[in-house]
Amino acid sequence: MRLRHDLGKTCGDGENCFSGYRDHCAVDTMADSMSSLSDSWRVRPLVRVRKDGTPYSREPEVEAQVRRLSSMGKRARREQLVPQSERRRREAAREETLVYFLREYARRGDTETAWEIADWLVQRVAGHVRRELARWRLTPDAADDCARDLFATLLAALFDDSPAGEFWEVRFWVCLDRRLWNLAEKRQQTLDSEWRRSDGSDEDGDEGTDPLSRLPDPRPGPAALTEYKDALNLLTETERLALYLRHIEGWPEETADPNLPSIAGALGVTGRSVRNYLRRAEAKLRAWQQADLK
Amino acid sequence: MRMITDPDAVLIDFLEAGPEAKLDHWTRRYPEQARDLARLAERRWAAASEMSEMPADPHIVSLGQEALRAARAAHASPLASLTAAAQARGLDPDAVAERLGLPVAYFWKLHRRLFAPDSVPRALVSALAQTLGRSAAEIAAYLQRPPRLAAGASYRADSAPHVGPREDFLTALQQDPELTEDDRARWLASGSE
Repeated sequence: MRLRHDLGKTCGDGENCFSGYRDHCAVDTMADSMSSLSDSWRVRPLVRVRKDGTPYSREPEVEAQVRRLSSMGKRARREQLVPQSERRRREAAREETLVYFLREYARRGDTETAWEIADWLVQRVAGHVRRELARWRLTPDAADDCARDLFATLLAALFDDSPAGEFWEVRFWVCLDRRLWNLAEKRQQTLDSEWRRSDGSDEDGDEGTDPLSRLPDPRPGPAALTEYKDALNLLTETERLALYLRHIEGWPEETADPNLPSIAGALGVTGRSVRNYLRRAEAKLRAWQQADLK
Repeated sequence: MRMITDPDAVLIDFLEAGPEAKLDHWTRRYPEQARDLARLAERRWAAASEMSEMPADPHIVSLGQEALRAARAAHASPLASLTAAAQARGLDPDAVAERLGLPVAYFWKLHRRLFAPDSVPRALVSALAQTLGRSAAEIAAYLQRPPRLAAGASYRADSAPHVGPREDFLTALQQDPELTEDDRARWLASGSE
């Protein structure tokens, strides 16, 4: 990832500042000073670029919100970003927009407003965090630890003024989910190893012997699996992933060819584990379907 | 210089490539992110994009606000560096490392944030916090920040040098010949808690 050497970004850590960066550090503050005299704010461009040199950009809706809010008066802008009424909450800005302004307020020294936006973001993501954590087989304490670590990570990232934080302005939920998945996975691995030590139980378990426990057509395809979409919330994270990779992506459970993708390779488990995930997932879906028919 | 691939960038690029993006192709390009790519592809297929429409969960909100309070307190008197915090307690890096039961090289790596933050055991974060007289939340937030280059080092490069991928703490422990077996076992055990 190349970092475009551009104006508008101060170094987060002085001792890492090299001459090229130091020269530009102060240049843009004059423009900021001018715009801070009026209520409207200059929109700060992103500096991250892809390997091929194309710049990252905010989604059009986000960019439009950023521009609109930047052109507003101080009070109106703040009311939009930290909504106090239910009506305002329903009209609330996108999460990426909130991140942009949180960082802007922090840069401009208005940390009070920045923290209020952070509080609003915490409320916005809570439901999603709960839903994602429910996919894992975590104990309540482990799920709570995950949530705490996630929020600590989120807040550290949002208040980190380095260019790395810009990805949260590009795709907020991708950034949040990646961190949540990694935290949950790590906790799950810890729990699984503890459970294995204590009673020998294992999510992977023994391979099922009932051939009828598998769906009759090993590759029913996306259309057939689509009817089960409503039931997917019944599955654990690994069951869901295995099912998706098998029936939608058409990947084999395992393969001896390292150049070919496989479910076992992607999930970092054995072929036996994959077969167990699939067996249990398909059994749950079958049970759901039968209950649904009654 | 090896191009660093930011994990967020890979997932964003995959998402923005649209439904036509082939998961197997992207997995071959970025095998270390195979699981996250698969998760993103599955979420997209399941149309789980209605994320922000989930009603707020009061319990999760309370956990978030607890983290918010801790982060806000840490921001009020930010932890600038582990060496500065140690010095404020009258300790040098060797003394801190000795109290933690780790080689001093680990203290410097923690100071420079060269370990992947998620790989540092909670017990170590707590022990470090206690040794330096700061909160665990501050230490955890410090470790989350970007890694830093060695102070005083000089580089010859056409572009600004940067730190490579961060090291996994537990992997470093397992491979380090300098550690005593007791210390290694202790920190490995704490890493699985």
